[in-house]
Amino acid sequence: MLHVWASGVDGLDRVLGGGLAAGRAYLIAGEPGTGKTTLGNQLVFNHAATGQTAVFASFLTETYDSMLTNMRGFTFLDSSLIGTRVKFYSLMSGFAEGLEVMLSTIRGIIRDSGATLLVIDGATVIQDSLPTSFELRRFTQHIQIYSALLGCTTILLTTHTRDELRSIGAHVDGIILLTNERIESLHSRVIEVLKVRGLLQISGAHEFSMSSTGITVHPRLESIAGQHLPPEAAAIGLGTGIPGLDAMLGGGLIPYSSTLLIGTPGAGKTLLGLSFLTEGGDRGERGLIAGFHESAQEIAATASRIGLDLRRHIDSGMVHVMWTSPTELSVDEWAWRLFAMIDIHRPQRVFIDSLSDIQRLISRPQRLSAYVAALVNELRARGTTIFIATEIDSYVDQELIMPIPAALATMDNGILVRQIELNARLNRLITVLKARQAATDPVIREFVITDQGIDVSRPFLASDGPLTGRAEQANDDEAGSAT
Amino acid sequence: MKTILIVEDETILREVLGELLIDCGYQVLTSSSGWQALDVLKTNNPDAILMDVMMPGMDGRDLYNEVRKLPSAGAVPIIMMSAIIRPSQLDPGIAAFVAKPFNLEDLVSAVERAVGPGETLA
Repeated sequence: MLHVWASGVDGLDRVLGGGLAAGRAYLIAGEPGTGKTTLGNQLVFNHAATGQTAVFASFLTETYDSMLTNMRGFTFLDSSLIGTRVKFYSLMSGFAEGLEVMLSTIRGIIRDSGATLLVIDGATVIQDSLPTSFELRRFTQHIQIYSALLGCTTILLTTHTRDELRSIGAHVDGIILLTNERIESLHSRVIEVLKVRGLLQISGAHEFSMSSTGITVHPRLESIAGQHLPPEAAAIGLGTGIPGLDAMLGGGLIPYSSTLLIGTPGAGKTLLGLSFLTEGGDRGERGLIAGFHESAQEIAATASRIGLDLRRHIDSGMVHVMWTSPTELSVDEWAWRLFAMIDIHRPQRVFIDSLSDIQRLISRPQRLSAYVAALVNELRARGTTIFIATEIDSYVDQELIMPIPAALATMDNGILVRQIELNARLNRLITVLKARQAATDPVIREFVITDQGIDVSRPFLASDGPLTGRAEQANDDEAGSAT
Repeated sequence: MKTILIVEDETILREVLGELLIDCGYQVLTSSSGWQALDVLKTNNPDAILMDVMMPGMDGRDLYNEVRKLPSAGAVPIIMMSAIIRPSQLDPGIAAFVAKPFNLEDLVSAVERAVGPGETLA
């Protein structure tokens, strides 16, 4: 039976299908600067921290003092483990005497140290220096069998590219590829698990980041879509804080539902979201705002301008604010941070402001629809009812163009708020585009913001194209039919 | 120093078994097939034979029967290895059985049961 142990690297075990298997041989490949040595050291120190013995052996000329100096900024480096449960060896001397001596040296290292993890850095030099390319393959085959017989997981760090892995990949139990990608001005670190024997890895590209804690892998959000189901909704009627909107929605929101707030800039999407959270706080329901632009203080001030006492709920910890800089964002890293916040604070209501920032920053735009579906599914599975704002770029258009067309399809409800020009005056309007519950109000209504709150009680008295921003005055007969 | 004849058709596994038994203080002879092993036994008298059961051509059970017919090797301890065949499916006269995949402890323990410990190198 396969014995799998945790790598201790956040997110890595998830993409590996559980962790690293005891007595198996892995290859971590990547060009220089992709993070192999950091990952190798992180695995060694994490393994040693669990009470096991781990060895870092290297074919490279870089001294351990030099390498450890470079690693000193990482919190995983526990110097008290060095020499006891973390051991360093140089393979340079055995290397000059040929493959047999080198293999004998490695066997000796594993047996003498009692290591259950061996990381070998710079194994590619075997290929560069020995007479035939067969030598590295033979070396790898031996390492794989040593790993199994000696019960020591072995990880070879090499500079192979994806194409070069074909010749050696068959002789290891797992292959992890690290790459640096540059998409326009954004730099993205990517990890792919190309192969794992005996475990179900999450294939495809996943972003990873490097910080003082070492490497953190952010599994591609879509890869977990559908794994978790939302709880059963008990009853209809979660209030938004705006009675008229609750009436338009047929009596409020279904618990654990998702609502997309679509609107032009300045139309009042954020205010709707803040009302939703304030109402929750007033009812004793915890909330979370995941935003990209305003601090907690700014959000509280914005809410207070329309008479919402959100500050009280923020100050009491009933509502948390997760602010992220919108300039350098890994959308997967952001999503996993959001899930972690939710797991800690357990909010019942979540407001994301806004999806447009994610749309601007996602490295591959074709991912967006699946990403949103996965995000919404995970949030619902965590027992939250969700408001997500998104912007319509143009104030006036020929038709109503959805900013992220597939996003609305994946949501339970869609609410449009927009500004239109009518009779030389800017008017706000609101309508329910879509709702899961049947009895919704089809009337387009005025969306009036005052210092006492939001009012949506009056029908919008215009016809012909208000949703596009091109309203024309309705005649009296048409206007009189709505109530 | 005690000598072990390793009969294993997989090259790398044969090499690694040899390396590890040498590390444990044994001398090693190797054969890649049953026929080659019988040739080796014409001129050598190992203290034990470590053989794979599943081999192309003459498999381990056939080789076992042939070895037992040899006057010079009729009583040599035989250790069999297999991932599929169970010990109950083998001749009860075998000295030990090692189930694949195995670790070094399983292997050394089986060899030691058959011929005693290897010599520790000074």
